[in-house]
Amino acid sequence: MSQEPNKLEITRWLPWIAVLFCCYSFVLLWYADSAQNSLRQSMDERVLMESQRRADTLTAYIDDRRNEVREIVERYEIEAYFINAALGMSQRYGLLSNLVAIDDYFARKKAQRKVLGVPIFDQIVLYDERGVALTEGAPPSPPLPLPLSGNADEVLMQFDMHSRHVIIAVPVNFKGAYRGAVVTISDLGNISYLLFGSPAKWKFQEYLTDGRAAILANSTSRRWTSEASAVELSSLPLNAVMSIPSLAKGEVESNGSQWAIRSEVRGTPLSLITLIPKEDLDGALDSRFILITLVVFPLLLLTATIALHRQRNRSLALQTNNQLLADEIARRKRLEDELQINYQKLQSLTEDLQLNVRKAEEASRAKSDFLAMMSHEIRTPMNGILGMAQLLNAHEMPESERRDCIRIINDSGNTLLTLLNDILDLSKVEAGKLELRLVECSPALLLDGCARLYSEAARSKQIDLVVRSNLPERVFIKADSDRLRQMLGNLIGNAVKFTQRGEIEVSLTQIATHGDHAELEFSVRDTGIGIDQDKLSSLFEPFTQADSSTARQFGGTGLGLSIVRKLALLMGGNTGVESLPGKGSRFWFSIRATRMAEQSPISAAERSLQRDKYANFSGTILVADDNLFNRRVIQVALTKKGLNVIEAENGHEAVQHFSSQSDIDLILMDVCMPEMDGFEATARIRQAQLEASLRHCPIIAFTANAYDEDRQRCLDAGMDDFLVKPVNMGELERVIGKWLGKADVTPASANEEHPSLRLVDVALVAEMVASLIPLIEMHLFDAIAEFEALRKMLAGTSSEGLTESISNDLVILDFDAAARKLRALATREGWSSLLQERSVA
Amino acid sequence: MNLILKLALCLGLWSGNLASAADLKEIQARGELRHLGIPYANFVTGSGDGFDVELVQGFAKHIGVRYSLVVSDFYNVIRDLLGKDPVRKGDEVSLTGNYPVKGDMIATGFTVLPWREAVLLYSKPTFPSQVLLVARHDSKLQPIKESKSLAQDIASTKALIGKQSLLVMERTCLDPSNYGLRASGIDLKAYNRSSNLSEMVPALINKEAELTLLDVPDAIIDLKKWAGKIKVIGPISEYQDLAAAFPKDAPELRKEFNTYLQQIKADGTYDRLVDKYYPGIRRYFPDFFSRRN
Repeated sequence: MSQEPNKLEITRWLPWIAVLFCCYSFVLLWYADSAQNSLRQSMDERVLMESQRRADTLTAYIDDRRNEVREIVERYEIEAYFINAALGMSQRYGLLSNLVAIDDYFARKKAQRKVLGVPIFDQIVLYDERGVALTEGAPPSPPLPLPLSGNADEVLMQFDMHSRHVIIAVPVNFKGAYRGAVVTISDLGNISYLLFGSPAKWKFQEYLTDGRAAILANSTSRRWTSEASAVELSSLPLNAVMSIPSLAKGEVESNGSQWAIRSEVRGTPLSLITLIPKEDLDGALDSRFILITLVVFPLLLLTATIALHRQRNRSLALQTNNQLLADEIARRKRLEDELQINYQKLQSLTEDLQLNVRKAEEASRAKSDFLAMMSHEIRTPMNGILGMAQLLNAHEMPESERRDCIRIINDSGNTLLTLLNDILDLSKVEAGKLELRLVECSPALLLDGCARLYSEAARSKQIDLVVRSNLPERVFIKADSDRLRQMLGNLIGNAVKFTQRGEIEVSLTQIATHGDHAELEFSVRDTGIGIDQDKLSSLFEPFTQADSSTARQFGGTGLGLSIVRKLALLMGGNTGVESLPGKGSRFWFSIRATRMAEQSPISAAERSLQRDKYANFSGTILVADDNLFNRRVIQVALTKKGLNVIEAENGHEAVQHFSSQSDIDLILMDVCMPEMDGFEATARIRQAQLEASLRHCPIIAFTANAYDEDRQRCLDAGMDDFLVKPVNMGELERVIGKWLGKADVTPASANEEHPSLRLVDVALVAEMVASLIPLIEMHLFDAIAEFEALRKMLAGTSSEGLTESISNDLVILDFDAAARKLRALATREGWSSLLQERSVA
Repeated sequence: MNLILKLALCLGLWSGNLASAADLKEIQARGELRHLGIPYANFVTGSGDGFDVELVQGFAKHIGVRYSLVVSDFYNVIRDLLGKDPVRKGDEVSLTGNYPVKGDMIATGFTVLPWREAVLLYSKPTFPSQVLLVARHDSKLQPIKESKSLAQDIASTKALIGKQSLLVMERTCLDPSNYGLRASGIDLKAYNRSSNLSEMVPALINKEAELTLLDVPDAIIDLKKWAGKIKVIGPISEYQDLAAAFPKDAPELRKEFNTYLQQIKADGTYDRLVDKYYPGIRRYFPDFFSRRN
């Protein structure tokens, strides 16, 4: 493509190049013409000299013949004859002998004298003074007029073109008197041998003419012309190169125009005519065709170039138009293609839209189902809460009934909280905002602990709950243990829920290792109702249960399996299910986790953390929350930890408290509050600190907005930490301990006094039991998490079996049984006395 | 008639003394043909070639024998052929003596003369000739005016001799006896210093005699050679024939020679020899050369 402009540029200059070429050709032609003229002149001079030289050659030849005849005349034989004749001898008896000798001499002369193998003399005759032939072979009459004058120098030469003879007569004088003559007759052909002639096509030819009637050419050709041609050639001027168009009437063949030179053969009446074809003499430059070509060709070339140029321009214009047309066609083709693509996209979009519509319809239907289900799930406990609250408010009732009402309210609230947590978890996972909190944990212990939570429920349904693991308990991994418990709890809870008899097997299998990574599979197999194959694929979809009747029969939101799948994928694993209706099901999930160095079941770090979690605090905390219940729960919990609690209903009050009281060590700030929200209150507090140069007061966000952007927004607003409602007491204490520090330290010798708790802090355990019992008795859901921590701490001890049983009670929200068993455990292990001692102390 | 009888008689008487001549068969048996030749004109030249030399060489080849030239002279050539010396006495010819036979045939421009025919066998003529009367250029005698009659011209010529001295060579073609010159009062002077006819003209020029005889073959040469020194007065003899001569007892050899001669005349060999050694002679003797047989 880059060469195309160059071609156009060259094409544009082609006419000018042709003009220059024409000029150059004309100059060359002019020079060639000059050179040709000069060459012509030189050639004319040369051929003229050559012709003259050739004529001189002929003259020399003829002179030679003339001299030869003179020599014959002077021969002694002839003289002897005339001597003897002068003596009076008769011819018959004497002179005949001389004549015989002369004949002999003449015969020898004729035989010996040759030119190119051809005898020079046809006849040599001795005539007497009367013209009578004395020797033999003489023609009947002398070929030329005799007698001669007798002058010794006289030589009579006659060219008889008709008889083709050259006749030379030389007088014979004896004793000063003319006594006769020697006459020689030669064939003109002898002379013609001396003429140049080109037999091939007669391009070059020499002729001899006597100017009258005949012409002689090269002897090989023996060409003779007509009289007309001879006269025409003889009339040419001497010693000049003349042009003759042709000799049409003559016998001389000619090829068009020729140059003719007539040179005189001196001493003879002959002329040498040299005919040279013009093309041979002038060469190619004289060719009219060449000259015309030299003139016409540049003009033709110029014309052709101009025509070519114009044609080229037209072609280029046509090419441009074609290109434009092609571009237009291509553009329209592209548009057509785009239209086609768009049409296909539209079709695809239509199909997608239809699919999405279907999906939306399905989702809408699922959500409708879900909403109906959620409505049912929410309304059921809400009905319990509201009903029990109305009963408590409207009627005086015995203490036992009142406690039942409160328990029902508590249970219904926990049910609602579980439902809410599931929804939140699913929302977090789907939004990709769920972050795993990796801690070191033993998957075998974790599996065992989870299974124990459901052992009581299984036992109540006379179902065997079996735990199998191919991984030792000392093997620790780095994983989010809370989420693992959540996932296992979902699977085991479902199994317990949907199994009426038989057994449930909970298994842990290390299916692969990759370096320091291990791929673990947790599975729960039951002998429950099973699931149809066509429903297996949608089991892990949110808001989906195998059968709506299942939900009605067994309850549940259908979110659990979906959360399990999301979390398993988040942990680098997968989920699956195999099931046969009526035979049972096997649900499993796998994870990838980093393997840690093998440890004892409970590490020092965990113990330290446990100690930190259950430490006592000192100081004043401002709790800002518009919800009285929330403020009351926090107030009760923190007061138990030795903290002084100041309450504020909104942000405005919180700012006022902070400004009026300088001993506030920490602020729990609800984000969503009337009059002034937590963000603005925090900003004003920070502003007040800055203006009054007060010490930094930690502000902990206390919100139901659990997403990370909510956390970040709180931190950006000047808050220092983040707590999610409903508050987990352990998490609350951890955060408070983080900002306020511990008030005291549990004695390290506790283990020595209570060998059954070799690995646990007895004081801490007693503390945790003391705080748990009221929570359980109040049917607070926090009790479940609190007890979980206690259960972990007691794992591997002699109390483990009972703690698992309490945990199962809590799972099924049997708070009373749990409280009863926990008190029995505390009594058995002596923790109650320890608490009493501490309280006395 | 008497002459014939006399000759026959002589031959009969002397036949017993004749040496045996070789005929064709003997020559072929011998394998060599001995050619008796006399250096004379261009018949047998001094350089060993000549008209007759080539003629006999061709004949030897014809009969299939080697050729050998035996040089002789006019005085002894018959003796060399026949082994006898011919002696003329008037019209009689006798053969005398015994001499070695040196050759088998004579071919040397040998004129056919009657007395020779008495002792020799002649072939058919091989060449023409004539005897002329020659004088020095300053001689008072003027050449005759030729007439239409040869005999008249001979008579006119002889009449001019008168009493003047005439140089002749006996036993040759210039022997005056051959032409009736002995009894006419002519002062005959025989040239006998040699038998070479070519020496006759120089002797004439040397004024050893006023006149001499000269045959045409020599005249052709001498009139050019001694042009202005001598002049031909006229003819002395009729036209003569020159022929090859054989012994009488060699008829087969002569016959074969005649066959050979006829053959070379027919095939042109003869003409080439004539033109080689005597160009122009045909003009002199047109009648002879017009005869092919």
